Amino acid sequence: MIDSFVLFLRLSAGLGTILLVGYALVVLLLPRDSTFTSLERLAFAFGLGCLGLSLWMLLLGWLQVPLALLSIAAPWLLLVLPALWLAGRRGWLPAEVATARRLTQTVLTLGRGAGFSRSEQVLLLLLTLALVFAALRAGLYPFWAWDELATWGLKAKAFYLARGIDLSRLDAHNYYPNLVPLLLTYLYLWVGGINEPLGKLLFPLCGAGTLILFYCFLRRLDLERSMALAITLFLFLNGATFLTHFFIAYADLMLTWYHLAAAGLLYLWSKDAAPPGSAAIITCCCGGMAWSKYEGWPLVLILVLAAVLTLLWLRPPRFGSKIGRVLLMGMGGWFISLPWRQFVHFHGWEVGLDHVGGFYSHQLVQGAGLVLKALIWIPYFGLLWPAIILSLILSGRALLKTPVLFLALLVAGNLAAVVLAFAIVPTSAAEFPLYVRATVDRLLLHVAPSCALALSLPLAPPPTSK
Amino acid sequence: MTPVSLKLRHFLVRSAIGLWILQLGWLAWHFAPEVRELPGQLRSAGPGPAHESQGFFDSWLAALAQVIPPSATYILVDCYETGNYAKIRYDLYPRRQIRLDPKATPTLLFEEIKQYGATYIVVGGCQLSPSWQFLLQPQLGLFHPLLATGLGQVYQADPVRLTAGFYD
Repeated sequence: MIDSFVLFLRLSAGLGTILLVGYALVVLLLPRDSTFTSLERLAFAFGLGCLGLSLWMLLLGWLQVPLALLSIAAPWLLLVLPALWLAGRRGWLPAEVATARRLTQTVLTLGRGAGFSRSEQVLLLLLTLALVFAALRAGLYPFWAWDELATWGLKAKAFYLARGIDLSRLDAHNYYPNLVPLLLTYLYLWVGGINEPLGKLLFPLCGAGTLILFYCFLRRLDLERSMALAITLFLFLNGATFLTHFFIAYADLMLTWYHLAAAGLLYLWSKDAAPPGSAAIITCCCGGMAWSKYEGWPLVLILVLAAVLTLLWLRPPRFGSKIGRVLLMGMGGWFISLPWRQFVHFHGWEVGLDHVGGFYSHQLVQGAGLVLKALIWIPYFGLLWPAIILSLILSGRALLKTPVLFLALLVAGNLAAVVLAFAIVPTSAAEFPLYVRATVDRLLLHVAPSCALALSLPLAPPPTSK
Repeated sequence: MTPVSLKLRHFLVRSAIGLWILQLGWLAWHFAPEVRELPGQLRSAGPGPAHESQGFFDSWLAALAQVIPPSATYILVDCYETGNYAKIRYDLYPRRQIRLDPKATPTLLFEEIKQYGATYIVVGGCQLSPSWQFLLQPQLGLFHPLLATGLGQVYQADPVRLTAGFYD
């Protein structure tokens, strides 16, 4: 009992340092006049902390410095201490503490103190129960899902045992980015061993962060609290895919987090509603996407392309400089993922040969059919994708006359990219449907929350005339 | 917005909510077995296996880990379809795994042993061809059987005895 308690404390310290590092980066990246809310800053802290710490571990691994808590976490004090001082001076730190306390209180009392209506209480209860289930399901079982054992968890075990980025004794898509394996390694170092269930608790935290971020974006898109809560629950509990990724150690949920953060902020930015400092966060999240998964970089390109096409079509004031800024954000993301590309190049690993072959037109046709089926297949995402597409259709003329176009291009571009990915994969005719079935839910998951921002369109109150 | 389109919108939103509530029922049914399993898992001393059937497999892997030293390389002869190679590779790491299909020729086995310096052969749950069965006979003295219980068998190989240059 005491051992378990101590382990839990050590894990909490590990997760806490990730948030602390991320918070330091958020404070240093955002200008003083940034209007992000406390909840948003805390949500961004998770993703930026994961990004900063894992990239630092990559650097240490490359320099052959043994991975240890001291070498990984201690240097960040140089950044965390001034950042906390700065946050205190800006009045953010007390606000963050109050928000964290209020959030905990709201969840524990089911919103009684915060004036929640009965329906809001039901929504919050369902959200909380599902999150508790995910946390228990993650924290009570060792690795069992395929990619946990075959890729991400295996690499984490290798890194932990070698105290470095040593892939010499395994061949498991070695060119895949290592954000998740390094984060698991970091948590193993905190708990003092390869403890799969405790390491997996990273994922319910990531999932909760995704939901909080999604909720915050909906609130920024003028949705009332009850409606924002309802749509967040609609995203979370629709089909089994999203919830399942809350308790398995796959890299897909991390990629989903970064994609949502970058796409949500870009959408707000295209509406001229993004708080100051958004560009820096978008840049980091583009880097995080490319550093989470092999598919991350194509997703960055689609995101940038959707934003550029929207600007070209709508031609807002100073659209030329805006396009330049979007391109800079994408390039910044590429720059952040550059160390891993160089690492792969340095070791001479072949990249993507198992995913990219030629162009097979019959697979394009068959893949398109299978993707369409996946969009309406209840066990994958329930009603989510039909609802997203319906919301875009219902937005009518706004689709071509407002930044809603960005969301439409995001949905269309990503679905087209998924189909294209299936058209270029080298598989046999017999294996192709199995390959699609094994990957399509995850490919759709990466962009599901970002595309689900379209659900706000028919539900937001109409703009008041001046 | 015209009243007709407003009505249509309300109808669509209400329909979506109704269908979603039905879907929530399906989701609860889908995860119900896992929810029922949680209290037992919570009561048990610590984190345990996700599926009861893993007990036998896990104990076999633990026995393998006792037999094969951590620095060794082993050849796993198993078909991909069993899906066991990932679990075996994970549990036995840092032992290096070289996977070989049971349909592979014995020549390839010898080449792999020589190339990677493999000192162990683990035969998984797949049906072996007669040539493999012949090679693995203890009387032949090529491979020394170590562990005959569990999911499959384990043999020790001696790469030094194989002088390479095999041709079919």
